Amino acid sequence: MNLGRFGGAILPRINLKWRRIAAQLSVVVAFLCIWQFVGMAYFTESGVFPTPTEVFSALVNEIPLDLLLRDAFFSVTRVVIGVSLAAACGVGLGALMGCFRTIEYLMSPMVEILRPISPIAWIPMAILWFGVDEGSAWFIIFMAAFFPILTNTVVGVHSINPVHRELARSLSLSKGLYLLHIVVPTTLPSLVAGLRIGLGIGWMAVIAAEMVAAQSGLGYFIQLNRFLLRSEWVLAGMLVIGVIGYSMNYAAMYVGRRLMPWARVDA
Amino acid sequence: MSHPGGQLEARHVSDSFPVEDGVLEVLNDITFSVSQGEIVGVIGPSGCGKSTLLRNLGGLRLPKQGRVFLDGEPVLAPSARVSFMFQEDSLLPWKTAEKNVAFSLIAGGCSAAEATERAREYLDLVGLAGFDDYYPASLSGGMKQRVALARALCTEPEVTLMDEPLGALDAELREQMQSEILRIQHRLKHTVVIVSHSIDEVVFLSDRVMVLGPRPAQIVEEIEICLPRPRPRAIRGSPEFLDLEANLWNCLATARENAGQSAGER
Repeated sequence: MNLGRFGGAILPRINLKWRRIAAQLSVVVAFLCIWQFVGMAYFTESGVFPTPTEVFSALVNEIPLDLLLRDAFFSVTRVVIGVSLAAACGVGLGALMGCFRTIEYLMSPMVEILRPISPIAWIPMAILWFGVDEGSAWFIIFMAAFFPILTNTVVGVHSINPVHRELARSLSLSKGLYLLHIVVPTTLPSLVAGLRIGLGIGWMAVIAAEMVAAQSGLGYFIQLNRFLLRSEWVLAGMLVIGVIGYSMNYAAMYVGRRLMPWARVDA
Repeated sequence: MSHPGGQLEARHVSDSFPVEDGVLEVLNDITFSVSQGEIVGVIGPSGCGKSTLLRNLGGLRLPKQGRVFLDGEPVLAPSARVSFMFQEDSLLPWKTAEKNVAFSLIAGGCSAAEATERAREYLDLVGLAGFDDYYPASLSGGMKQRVALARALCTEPEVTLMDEPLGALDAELREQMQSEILRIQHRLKHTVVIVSHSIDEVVFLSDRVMVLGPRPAQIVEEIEICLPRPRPRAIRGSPEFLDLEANLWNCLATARENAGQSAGER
């Protein structure tokens, strides 16, 4: 390991890292305290405003872990499938639009009309076409994740530095080497950003889709427990959604950093 | 390392760019030649087409009229015999210093192992031994231009075309890099054409300086720089150096005045 010039600074750095984590945790704890206090002080009627302790108790003592894990697994799988499809199409079309003016010119009005349509708005048509089944969820997630991935890819390809293009020409670079060594690394940061946004929006969409168009998953879990009037369970489900979303974003950032050791990947 | 060729010749080179309301004439009938191993400085008012001339010389851009010849062969496209060093930071941010240098070798069909070895050798030559694994983001401006220099030289080109390579550096670093360029050129003996807007820089570096007039640029003066080589940094203080500087300054000023007059006549 090369400690190099920063060798002497490693210890304070570790301290700084832990201090940061402690500070962040204390904000979470403060929030939970306020929530607990408000719940206990103003909502005496049970079930209307479950306190953190009630939610945690439901999570630990009442909700069967295998049920929760199963639903989480379904949701995550759907997102992975839907976002992967969106990534394949979005990156493909985005690369074409970024490389060829004509394709961008032809496609952009179409894209700009479809883009503002909320993925939720596709739910009725999705059910009509795919039924209350996996296909519906995949389709809705696809519609949610596709556009941010597409637009970020286009922006990425457009951001090629003219001097790098000039350099490539002066080296008589082959098309393949140009693509591999110039276009791909230039596009990578905004592509990863697009995938992260796509994953985030896809994760929101899957919950919405499952509330209406599925018989499993965390969205279904929430909807079901709403009908069963188990509001602690609903909040526990939401908590799990938040934690998984956070983890997915963190994982995407980690992958981004590993892919691009030269660049800063910000939250 | 010997350079069999590197004799560069521009014959009646004229170039222009299309603009909204017609054509912008940039270069007007430029003819000159650079011998093998010579360092020629090109200076002129900003926007006069120095960079365009350089791109013509290297085949990055074909002139509208006239032609460039390298050892008697017409230059129709970029070739491995000619390398460029650009004004802006042209390093690839996603490659380490070593990979940046090796890249131009790999582009030329070199094996990865050989490219790495040569890249290290040239990083060493420009004084960056030990910085192989640094990404450009963690290198200073001067170090980045050293990497760019190593990249421009490692393919052992016969001609190196430099477009204000030190323009972004501060005075101190500039002088340091100028000496570095001379030291390395003295070793490799390649032909160099360097575009600059700094009079001091072209006098210090060149065997000969071409002064371009305002757009559309013609060669208004050609000045031999009869300073001995190798040139120590202290040479800048010598009367000969200062004379040459004053002379060049006058040439540029006259060119600018003439341009002002002809513009006034219209």
